[in-house]
Amino acid sequence: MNRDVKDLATWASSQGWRVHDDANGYTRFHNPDGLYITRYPATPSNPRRRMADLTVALKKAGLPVPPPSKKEQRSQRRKDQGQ
Amino acid sequence: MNHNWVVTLTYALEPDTTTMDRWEDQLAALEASIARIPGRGIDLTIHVDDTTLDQAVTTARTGAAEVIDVDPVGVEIITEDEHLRRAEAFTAPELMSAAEIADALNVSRQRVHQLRTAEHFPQPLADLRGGAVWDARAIRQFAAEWTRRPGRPPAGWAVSYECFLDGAWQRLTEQRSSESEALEFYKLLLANSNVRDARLISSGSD
Repeated sequence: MNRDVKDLATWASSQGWRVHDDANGYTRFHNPDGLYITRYPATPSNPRRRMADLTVALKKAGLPVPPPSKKEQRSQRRKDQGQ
Repeated sequence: MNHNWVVTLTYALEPDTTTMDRWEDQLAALEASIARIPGRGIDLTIHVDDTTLDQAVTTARTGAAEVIDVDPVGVEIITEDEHLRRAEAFTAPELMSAAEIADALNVSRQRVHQLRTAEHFPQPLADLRGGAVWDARAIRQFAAEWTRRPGRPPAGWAVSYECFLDGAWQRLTEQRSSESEALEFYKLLLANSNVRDARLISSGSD
């Protein structure tokens, strides 16, 4: 699985989605009803665009994307201050 | 004016996975991606760089028509910046529990539960077995507009008593605006044989 998509794939799995890599290196997303939604290539030509396409598509298909928790926000602030 | 555009064409189609893969591969030159929108069909997203809005729509529609032999039922065109903003936007609100609200307002949890009865306090999004949760934005809005009145609330007076009504003792409370009025009413109750356990009480309100 492409590193860019790992966090989103983990989150989707935790929300009842099925996420798996196929033999061609695509990461495929199925919603909790088992319906195939979309795929993400192992080596996209433009990762930033492709990731945006994927995120928008998953949200349209019903994947909730909450803001980071207070713990995550604190962790991010510490990282930012450390840089 | 030239921009990088993202054109999304919506089709009322329910293709299988193999067909979706084939279309996406055939449209690779347009950086296309295809996604199913449950119950509505599919979205074909195409990136068109450095053109006018009209040129971007024409490029996307012409390219798509070579592969998908059906007219779309919808077209949306936005700049790439707007597309990225939408991708980063959250779909669920930030939630707060009573304990987090207590921290944010610098009050006790008990006070939060008192505030819930105030008319202008936000309604919780959900009241779960483990406690209620609120939209953090609504709480911040409340905090910004909340007029605090620290210290003990101004005293009022009331008389609480039990009265024999309809064959049973019932507890009633009567408010009075001053201590002398409350005392006068209390004395009247003491002389009434249908009344027991009368109490003169000082009370306050928010």
